Amino acid sequence: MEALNLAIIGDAWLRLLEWDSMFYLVLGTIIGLIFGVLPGLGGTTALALLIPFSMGMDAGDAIILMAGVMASTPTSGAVTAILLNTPGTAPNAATTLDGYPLAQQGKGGLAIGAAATASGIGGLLGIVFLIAMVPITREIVLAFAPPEFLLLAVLGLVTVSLSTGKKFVKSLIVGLFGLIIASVGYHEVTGEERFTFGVDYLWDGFKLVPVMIGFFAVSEMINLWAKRGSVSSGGDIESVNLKQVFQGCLEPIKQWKVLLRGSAMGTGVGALPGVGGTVAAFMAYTLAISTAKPEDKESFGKGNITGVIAPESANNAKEGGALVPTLAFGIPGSAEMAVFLSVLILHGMVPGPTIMTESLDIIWILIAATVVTGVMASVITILAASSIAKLTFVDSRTLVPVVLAFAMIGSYSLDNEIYDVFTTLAFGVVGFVFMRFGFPRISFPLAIVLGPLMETSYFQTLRIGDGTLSILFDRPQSIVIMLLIVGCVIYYLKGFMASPAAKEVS
Amino acid sequence: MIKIDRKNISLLVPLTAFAVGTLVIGSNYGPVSAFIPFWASVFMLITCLFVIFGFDSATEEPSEQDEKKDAEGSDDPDLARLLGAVGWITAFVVIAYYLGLLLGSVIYAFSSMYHFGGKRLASALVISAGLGLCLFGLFEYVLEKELYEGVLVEYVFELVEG
Amino acid sequence: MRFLTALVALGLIASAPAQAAFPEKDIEIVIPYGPGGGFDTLTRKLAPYIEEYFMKQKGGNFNKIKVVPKNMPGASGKKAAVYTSKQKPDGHTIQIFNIPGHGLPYIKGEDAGYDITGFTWLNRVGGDDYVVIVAKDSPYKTFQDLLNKSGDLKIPEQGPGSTSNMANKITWATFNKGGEYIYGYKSSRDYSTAVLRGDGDVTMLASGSAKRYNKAGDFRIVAHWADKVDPAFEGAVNGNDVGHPELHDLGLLRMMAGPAGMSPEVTKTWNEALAYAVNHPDIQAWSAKTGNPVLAYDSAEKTKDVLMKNLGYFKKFSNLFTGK
Repeated sequence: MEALNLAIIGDAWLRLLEWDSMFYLVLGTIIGLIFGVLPGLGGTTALALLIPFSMGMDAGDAIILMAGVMASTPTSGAVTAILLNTPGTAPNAATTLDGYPLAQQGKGGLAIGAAATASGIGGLLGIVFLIAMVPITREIVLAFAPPEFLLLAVLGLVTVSLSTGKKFVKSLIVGLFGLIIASVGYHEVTGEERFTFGVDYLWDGFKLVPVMIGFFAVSEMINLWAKRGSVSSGGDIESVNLKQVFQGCLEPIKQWKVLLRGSAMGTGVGALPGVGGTVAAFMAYTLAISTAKPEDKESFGKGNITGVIAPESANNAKEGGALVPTLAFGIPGSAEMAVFLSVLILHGMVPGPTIMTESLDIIWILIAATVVTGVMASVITILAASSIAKLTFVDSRTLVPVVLAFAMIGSYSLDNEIYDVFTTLAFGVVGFVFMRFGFPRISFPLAIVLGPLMETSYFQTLRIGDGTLSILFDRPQSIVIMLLIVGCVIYYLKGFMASPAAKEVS
Repeated sequence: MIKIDRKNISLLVPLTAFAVGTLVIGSNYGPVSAFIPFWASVFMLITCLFVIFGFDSATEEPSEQDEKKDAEGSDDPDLARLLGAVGWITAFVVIAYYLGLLLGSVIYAFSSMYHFGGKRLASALVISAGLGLCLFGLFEYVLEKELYEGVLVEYVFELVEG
Repeated sequence: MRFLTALVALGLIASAPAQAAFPEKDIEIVIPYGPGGGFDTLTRKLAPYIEEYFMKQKGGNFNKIKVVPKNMPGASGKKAAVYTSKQKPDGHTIQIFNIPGHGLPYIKGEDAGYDITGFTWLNRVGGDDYVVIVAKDSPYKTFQDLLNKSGDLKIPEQGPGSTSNMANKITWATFNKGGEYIYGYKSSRDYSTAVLRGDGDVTMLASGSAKRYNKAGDFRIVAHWADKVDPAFEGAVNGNDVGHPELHDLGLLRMMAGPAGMSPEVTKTWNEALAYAVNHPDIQAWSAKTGNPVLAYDSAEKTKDVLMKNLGYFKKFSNLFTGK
């Protein structure tokens, strides 16, 4: 395989050892870590801000800087997800489900240690899978068409709702609510405006990040404020030390199968354009539940460390996956990739089938930088973890205003749009109300992300198939996914019959 | 005899109304646009009614969490404090809209710590000032991103410039 | 006494700068889309060369004037256009426009909050003409084959209102050929891959994009609506070959404009600045390498003429754009 030209690979790694490369690598990592932690600011914003600086740089250095940012944001985003129920970036949302309960039990250090390690290893695995997929990227991109996207969206929504166990009906209500919210705005396919009521801001619909910040972070802050006390109601501050953190680091290694599955899910789903890291993380989470031992299933949502390992490995592995369609076809897998793509073009590279032959050296530099950054970001996070985790013992009277200020500012910073802050507030109240009444919130973000995908794919499938969905039965890929859906439903139903004890995830 | 799920009714009624509203408004859209709103609201209506009339098994059995709460003595915050929390956050957003995010954050942090949270004046002042400085430093120098200036502030600038 | 006053007045006039010292502060170029798209990339690429032009004008001993690209996505480009139309026409805020995209409300006779013809048009920076593409292994080997298909053509596209969609509709309407549009693809890359995959029969691409995407030879370009068919597109017909040379007016224009009411001097300066940047050897080389066509005119008047000609052409087909 020409791509595995050892000389070029070797040169790429040697390149990283040069002083200015190392400088950009560290700089990118630190910027990424900061942007990852602050809710609302994520990889996309960081990359966009760096574009002007990168233009004057040599192509290799620019790539190193960008890789530093991209590979580190999902790692630090887990920190606030765990400690404050505020996902630093959207793909970290799934981490809040078990990460935050752990923090509440005073085990914030444990969770961060596990998350950082899972992120680091997950990112590496993502790169490995990327390299493995390189020869077949073209086939992958051509094999996945609207019918498959439709079914994958359905699979995602079904598995997430089912994973809430006995609260299935309530979580379905929340998911349906999410679908309706997602349909607000200008409909790309028909050109019609839905539920905008003449308000300009609603023309583009509700943006995912402000909604998520409100739904998860603000709602939790309202709860915390009203409840008084601090995030950690259990455990004591002394136990949050490096020892706890290292204990956490060992967990992903002990649970290597979860790690492997999460990374595979992350890379695979990350490779499908438009589906993205958020979905990958949630699906890895539900996969972890479904493959858990029956007696463990109940503990998800209440502080099961597996529930941290799975999504964190997925959301870092997705970086590797997202590079597949981006590099091989120039189809960005996410908004972040779209920005990255433009950096490539600005430096005269042309993503597409020929990039592997024309710019192979740059590709390997990218890979090497991503690998090193992933590890560096994890190490930095782990070392800082025990100090940061002590935040959970800060009294809510101080914590809540400060976190809220950052959350609202983060929301604003996404697009410099003050109305996003209103959105965050509104969904904060909504999220809180759902939370108080015990309605599982997990289906909401997935509905928002998958709803539009499902809808668009549905109509595309109809048009491609000349007006019927029969095409779904003509394609082997579609049939496989449909069997998966049916399989999941049967599996969960069996689970219902088998254990009458309540399985609850909120 | 029809059982009504009393516990969740105060959420379910608005949700049902929401579903009906969506159905009504959505029916005005073209067939392709109305597809998701229509089916989502129909299913939402059905599931809400399902839960309201007590068919949802999850609410019948007391959940573990409920039992725990009853045992510990409910730590459910009272409504007043909850409304206060929401009220304060809304106030923050309004202040931020008029005076900008930086000023709004500092004012909000101070007021909620001192007035609502009952912290000492000194610590409230110090923490909110510290927050303000951190935000300023972060956004002005490190990130070089604008923070929202606020409607009133912009108005004043225009007066000065114009 | 009056003579003295006159002398003083003359002296004052003589010592004043020959023309207003534009630019006086940093310049903002508004990009109506998010980072990463074609307009964004082109603007960012040109920005440093525009800065270079202004530096040279000023003799290089001032604080460097920065040209700052500002993304303002929203409402498919309308948000930015409305914003730009409200800025001070002193030349410090301009925007890159998608023509005929931004002209769609004008074409359809709708109000979008801005008047496309009212902006001060400075210069063109890029743009392209269109080609018709099919998959290499598709049963349709020529343009005529497509016309001969019994039934409607299946055409993957981004959405109604995109420029390529308008090009598609106009093309097929010219030949009375029905088209069933499969909307929802995220980008031109996406919908052209859809053709490769077999989701649809045919679609249209900007010629630069076509060259870029076809590096592996997956596509066949069956028509190129240009007076001179690009040699890279072997076997393609053009408007003359099919008896409809007016199809050569179908094209995407990337143009820069400022708010209405900019002074003629500043307009001219901008026209020259943009021409300088576009014609710079670095930009020309980059354009050739990445397949992003760039082009500038030598006067703002010519720019406005080309704009109106383009909009006028599309306006003739306005009835096509109101349906689906």
